[in-house]
Amino acid sequence: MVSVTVNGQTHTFDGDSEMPLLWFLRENLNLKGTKFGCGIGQCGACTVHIDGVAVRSCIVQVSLLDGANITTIEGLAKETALHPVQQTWIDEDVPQCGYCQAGQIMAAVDFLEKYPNPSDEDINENLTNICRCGTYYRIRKAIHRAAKLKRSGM
Amino acid sequence: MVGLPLKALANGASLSSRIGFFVEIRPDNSIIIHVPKPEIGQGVHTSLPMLLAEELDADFESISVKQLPVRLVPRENGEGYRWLHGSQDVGGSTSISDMFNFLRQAGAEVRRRLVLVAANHWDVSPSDCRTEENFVIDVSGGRRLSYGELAAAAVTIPEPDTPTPLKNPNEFKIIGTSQKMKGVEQIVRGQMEYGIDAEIPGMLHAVILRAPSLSAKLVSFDASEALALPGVRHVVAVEGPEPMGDFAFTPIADGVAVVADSHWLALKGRERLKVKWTDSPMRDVSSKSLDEKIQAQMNEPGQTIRNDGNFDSAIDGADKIIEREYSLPFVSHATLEPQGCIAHVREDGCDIIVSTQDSSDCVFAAAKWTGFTPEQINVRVTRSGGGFGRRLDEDYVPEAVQVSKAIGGKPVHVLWTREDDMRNDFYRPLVKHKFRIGLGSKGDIIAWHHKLASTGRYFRRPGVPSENIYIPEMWLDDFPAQLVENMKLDYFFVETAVPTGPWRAPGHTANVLLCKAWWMKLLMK
Ligand code: FES
Ligand code: FES
Repeated sequence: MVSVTVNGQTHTFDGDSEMPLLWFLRENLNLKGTKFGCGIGQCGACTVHIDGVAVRSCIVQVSLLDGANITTIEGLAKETALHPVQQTWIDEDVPQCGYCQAGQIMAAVDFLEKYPNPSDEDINENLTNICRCGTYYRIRKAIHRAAKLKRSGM
Repeated sequence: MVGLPLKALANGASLSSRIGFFVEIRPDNSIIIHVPKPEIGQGVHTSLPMLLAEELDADFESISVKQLPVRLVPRENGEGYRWLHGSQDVGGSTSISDMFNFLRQAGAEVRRRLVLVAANHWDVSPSDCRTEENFVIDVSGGRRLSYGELAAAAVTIPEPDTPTPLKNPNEFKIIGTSQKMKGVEQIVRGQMEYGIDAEIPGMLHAVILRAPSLSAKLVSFDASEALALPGVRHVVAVEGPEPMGDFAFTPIADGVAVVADSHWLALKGRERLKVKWTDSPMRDVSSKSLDEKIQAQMNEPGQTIRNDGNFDSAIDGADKIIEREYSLPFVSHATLEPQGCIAHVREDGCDIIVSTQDSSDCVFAAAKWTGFTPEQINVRVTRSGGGFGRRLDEDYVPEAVQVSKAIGGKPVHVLWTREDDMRNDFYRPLVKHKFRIGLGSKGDIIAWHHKLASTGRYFRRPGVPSENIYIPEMWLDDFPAQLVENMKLDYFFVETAVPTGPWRAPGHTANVLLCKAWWMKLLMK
C-alpha cells in the first residue's frame, strides 16, 4: 500500500505494482489533463511534477511513489490565478490542437526553476517534449515571456 | 411587442435563447456559437465563429464555443443523406472557403432578428437602428438594448424570403484580425476534452491486437490466459477488410479485442493473447524488392496524364539534359492523440464519441455495422489531438462498434497505443520521382518530363477505377504547369497491401517540394 499526494489530496494505492502513474492519474483519479502520447517516455505529453521535478508519468510506477507529492496540470493554477507559464501560453497563443500542451507547460515550469533566464539554446537542449503540430516557435516565445513575468515578481 | 417592458422581452427567464442552428444568446449578453466543424488544431473553433460574429456585430470576447452535434438528414429526393447545417467534415484546408458566406449569412440573419425586436419595441424602423458589440442602438434616440435582452423574442421570428444582405468587406471588424484561440484557457488548465478523455457511464475499455502483417486474416485465438486476469471481461474478434480488399467502412485490419475494466488492464490482457493469423500477401515483399519492382515499372511506358507541346522533339534539341531521381518513404501521421473511439450500441440506436475529421463517414460506418439507419446514429465529435488527414479515415468507428455489439451492447472505449498507431496507418504513399529536363542555349527550360511512381492512395478505396488512381498523386496544374512549353507527366501505380491515405495533401506536399527544390537547383546553376 502506498500513499501519494496529488494536487494537495492524499490517495492510497495497492493495485497492480506495474501500473504507471499516468494511468493511475487518468483512470483511478479521473485527472485527464495529463495526456497519453506514447507510453514509453518519448513524447512528454504525460509530464507531471513529482516533488517539484518534471517527470514523464507513463514510465513511473505508482507503487514506487510512496510519500511523493505530485502536481498535475490541473493543480498548477492557484485557484483562479493561472501560473505565469499558463498565462504566457495564452498570451502567445501557443496551442494548436493543444494535446501536447499540458506536458509542455509542466516541463517548462520545472525548466524555468532551473533556468530563470534561459537562452533559446537552453530551451532547445532541455525541453524535448514533442509537439506534432509544431508549436515550438511559440513555445520558445512564451517561455521567454514567462521568464520575464516571473522575474518581475508575478 | 411594442412598448413591452424589457423583462417581458427577455421572457423574465434566466434561460439562454437559441436563434437558428448556431447561435445561443444568454441573458447576461454572452454568446455561445455552436460550431459545425471539428477542431483538430487547425483553428476552426475560432475562425468559423469569427465569420459569424462579424455579421452579427458581436463582441468576440463574449463568445464561447461548443461543438454542434453531427446531423445528417435524408435527401428530399430519397437518395442518400445531406447535411442539416452545412458540412461537418474537415479536410483539404477547405473549412473557411466552404463556410465563408454560409456562416456570415447565419450571423446576419440573427442580427436582423435582434434588430427587428428592438425596433418594434422602440416603435422605430429597423433602418434607424445600428448594432455594435452585442447591442442594438437606436440611432436617433441613443437608446440601447443588449442582445441578451432581445434574444428570447428573436427566436420565433420567421426566416425572410430573401437572404439577409451581408456587409461590404471594407466594413469588416473581426474578419482579418488576429484573435486568441477559443478554448485556450481550458487547454492550459488541462480541462479540454479530447476523444481519449470522453466517457459514457459504465463504459469498458478495450485494446485490439491487430494482424501483425499486412492484409493477414485472423484464424483463431486462445483467450484463456487473458480472461484469467481479474478485470478482463471479454475477448472478441474484430473483422477487417478482405486481403487486399477495399476499406469500405471497415477497420484497418483484422484483430482480437481485449475488453477490461480499465485501459491498463486491457493492455495487460492483450499481452496474454495467443493468436493465429494467415500469411500476408506481402510476405515476400521487402523495401528492396519493392524498389526493384518500381524501377522495372518505370522503364515501361506509364499513364501519360499531361502532355503539352512535344517533349520528345524538344529534348532532342536541348543543349543540356539533366536527370534526377528522388524517393520518399511511407509516412505515418502520428497524431499526438492516438486513434480511438467510444461506441455504445443500444437497442434502438448507437452513440459514438470520437476525435475525427470525417463525421459523416463515422455515421455511415456505425450504420453499416449496427444495421441502424443514419438517423439512429448519434455521433458526438470531440476536439482532436491532431488530424493531418489520418482522421479522414473512420476505421476506429467500426472497430468500437463491432466490439460493443460483440459484448452485448455495453459501451466501450477502444484506444490505440502509439505502437498500434505507427504500425496501422493509412500512410502517405511511398513515391519515386524521375525528372528529365532539357535546357536550351540560354539555360532556359525547354522540356520537362516528370515521372511519378507511387502506391496511390486511391487504391483499396471503393469505386475508384484504376485509371483514376493518379488523381490525388499528381496534380495536373501543379507547378510548373504552363510555365514550360514542352511538358509531360507520366504516372505509374505501384500495387502493395500497405494502406495509404491522405496526409496533408500527399500530391502537393511531396511533388511541390521536389519540383520547387529542383527548380531552385536549376536556377542556381
Ligand atoms: S506518454 Fe509519456 S512520454 Fe509519451
Ligand atoms: S499542439 Fe498539437 S501536438 Fe502540440
